This record gives sequence, structure tokens and C-alpha cells, in this order.
Amino acid sequence: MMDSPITNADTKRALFEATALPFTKPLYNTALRLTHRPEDASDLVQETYLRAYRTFHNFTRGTNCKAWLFTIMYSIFVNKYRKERREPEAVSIEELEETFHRFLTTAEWDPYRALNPREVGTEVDQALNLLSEEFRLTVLLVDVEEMSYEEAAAIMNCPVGTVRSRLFRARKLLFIELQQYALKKGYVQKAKL
Amino acid sequence: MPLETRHFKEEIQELLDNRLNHEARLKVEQHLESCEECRREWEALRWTKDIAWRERAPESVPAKLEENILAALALEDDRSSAKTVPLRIWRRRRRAILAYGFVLLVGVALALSYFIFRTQLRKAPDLPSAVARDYRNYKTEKLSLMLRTGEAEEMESFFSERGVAFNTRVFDLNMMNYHLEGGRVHELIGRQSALFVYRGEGNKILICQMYPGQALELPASGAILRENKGIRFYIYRVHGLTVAFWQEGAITCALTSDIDPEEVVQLAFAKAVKI
Repeated sequence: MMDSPITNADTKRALFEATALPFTKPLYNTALRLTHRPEDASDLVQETYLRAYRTFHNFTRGTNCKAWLFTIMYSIFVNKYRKERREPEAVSIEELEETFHRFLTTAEWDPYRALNPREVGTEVDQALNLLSEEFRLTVLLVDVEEMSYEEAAAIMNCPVGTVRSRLFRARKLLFIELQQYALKKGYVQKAKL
Repeated sequence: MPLETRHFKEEIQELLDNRLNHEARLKVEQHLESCEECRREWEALRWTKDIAWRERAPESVPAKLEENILAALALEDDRSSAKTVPLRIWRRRRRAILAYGFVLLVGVALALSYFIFRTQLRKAPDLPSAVARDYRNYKTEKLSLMLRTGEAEEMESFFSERGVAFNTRVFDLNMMNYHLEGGRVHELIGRQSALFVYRGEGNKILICQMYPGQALELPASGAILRENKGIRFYIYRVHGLTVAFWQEGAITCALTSDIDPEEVVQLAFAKAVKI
């Protein structure tokens, strides 16, 4: 069937519900990690759906509805919900690489043992929250929501190269945060102090 | 520098995100077998990506969220159809309407002038913000009461004597530990409103406004719809305040407070009357 513009008002609602409503959960999860408040996250998601519904005629059927909804949600978040914007971590790439490799070489880090979810539960959430908004959202879109660099770039309105470099830093920062936690709790031991 | 003699920092990320072609992938995988540093980096980043992926499903969506989304869409549909009905009539009865066109045009022009004059060219009304502003003004003593009374009947008589052009219904909230404090004849975005205030334990304040209007004037954005006893309530949260609107015939009621949002909703449920 050829994709045609959504013009029939009677079918618009049913089509919208079938196409867009399945993404309530990923939208809410991401909204919560952006706003940090369940009430704001609910309002943000509701407003996203309302705006999406009003502009549903612009949506091309067969394209990625989830990415389209995330684009709308991030735009509303930036314009209405973002209270303060924390600049990306000021740490230099050299400094970051040095700390990252120090953890790899001086700690007895075992990837298979460390995968135990018991050892990193809510700490992942806390570690994500320590990242700047741009770094956190990049990880959420690519690693959690499994979007492509291109889709993440469209949502955040930035070049694909920016997504790549944000991921490069964000994952290493996240790893360092989680290892620091594991070290503090004694899940990993320093080989040399 | 030949590719094999350096570490594969960027390629590791591309491999992790499955963005390499077959040939490049083989090359990086071969390198990982022989380079301890790159292999540990690959394992650490893959571990981090896996750990982040676990964040996919931990949060449950609030039970009411989907219901509220559907209600907001229904309100949007109501508003859209209200806008399109006059167009449909125009298309079907174009000739008849044209016959009266001139008279209507003059009438519309007069009505428009009157409307522009009354609203002083203000933007489309944002009723939730307006009633919330009145609440804050009362709390900061910028808005005074014209009559102080604890008697609902006396308050209603006052509104009638002061020319309020609709029947007011001042609720008795004594059972809920809120006592009438008084009221005023007010103006809410260019229309007459009966405003009355209740005070409860701990200095909690509730303000009710009744004004001629339709729920369709309310903004769809930010509205949470609830239904009780066949009455539809439109709940808004404005800067820490909760405003509950509902329709009683040609009159719209708005209950505003900074108390627990659910308490405002329940008070509105208790006092609303289906007309």
C-alpha cells in the first residue's frame, strides 16, 4: 500500500494511537532521566503526545515514529522543562583517558564478575545522573534505546560526529563512576595503591 | 603510520556500535587478539554499554499516564471539531448564508469591535494562569474581599445584589473543615466572575471562581482530565498550584489551591453538580 498523507480526521486518531502510543514507556523513562521528577516526566510525555497529534499530518508513515516522538520531546524539554543546563564535563580527553586506563590496569577488574547486577543496581542510575545532560541523553538514546548515531543526532539537533565524541567520553566517564563505586564497596580491589 | 602499529581507540567504539564493514571489523578483531590494552578497553566499554542497556526497563510508567494522554487527545479532538463545524455549515448552506451576509457582517464587525475593546487586544485567554494569578494575589494581599462572611446564603445574595448576571452556588465546605471567608465580584479575563474564598486548618486557602464560559476555552496543553459522577474535570498545575475546572450549565467553576493536588480534585468532585 502506498503511504499517503494522513488527512481523514476519523482515522487519524486510531492511526495515531496505534503508531505512537506503544512508545509511552521509553519516552517516560527518558523523560524521567531528563527532568528527575515523575510529575514533570508525565507532563512532558503528555505534552509530547499532544504536540505529536497536532502535527501528525507531517509524520511520514513507515518512518521511525519513536525517533520522531523523541525529537518532539527533547525540543519541548529544552524549551520548557530544562531548568539549568550543566555544561559537559570539563575534564580533558587526556585526563579522561589516563583515569580510564588507570582503572583498567591497576584494578583487578573482571568484566564477567563485574556484570553481576547486584553489584551495580541503582548506582547506574546515579552514575548516569552525574553525566551532563548531553552525555546522559546520548547514552540513553544509543545504548538504552538502541538508536543509530544518525537518529540520536537528529533528536539532539547536532552533527553525527558530536554523537560519536559524546559517546566516546560518556561511556568512559560512566565506567569510571561505576568502578569508583565498586572500589568503595570492595567489589573490586586495587592491585597497587 | 601503518594501522596495525597503533591502538584502535576509535575503531573499538565503531565495533561496539556495529558500525564497521566486514573487512574493517575483521581487522579490529584481529588487533584485539594481539593487543592487551585495546582488548581490555573493548571489554570495559562493552561492559559499560551492557550495564547502560539494563536501564531500559526499570521504571514503570504511572498508571494514569496513558489515560491522561488519551483524554488530552479527546479534548484536542473536541476543540478541533468545534473549530471545523462552522466551516461545514458554510459549505452546505453557502447561498442562504450569503443572503444574510451583509447583516451578519455588520453584526460580526460590531461584536468584534466590542470584543477587542473589552479584551484590550490581549492574547487568547489562559484561564488556568489567570485564576492562579488571582490566588497568588489574594495570598499576598493584593486582592481584597468585598464582603467578609461565613454564610453561604449571604454571599450568594451579595453576588446577586452586586449585579452578577448568573446564579451563584457558594458551597458549604464546613464538613471538609474549610470555612467560607468571604468573596468579591471579580473580573476574569474580561468577564464577570464570582470569587469566594475558604480557609481551612493550618491556614490553607481555597479559592473558587464561577464565570460564564465553556470548558472548550481551556487549553488542551497541560490538562489532566478526570471524570466523576458523569462530570468532566480539567486539572492544571500552574507554578505549584492546582486548578480544577468543571462545567455547570453555562457556568464554569474553578477551584484553586496550593494544597495537595488530589485534595483539590476530591473537593471539586464533592461539590460539583451535573446540570
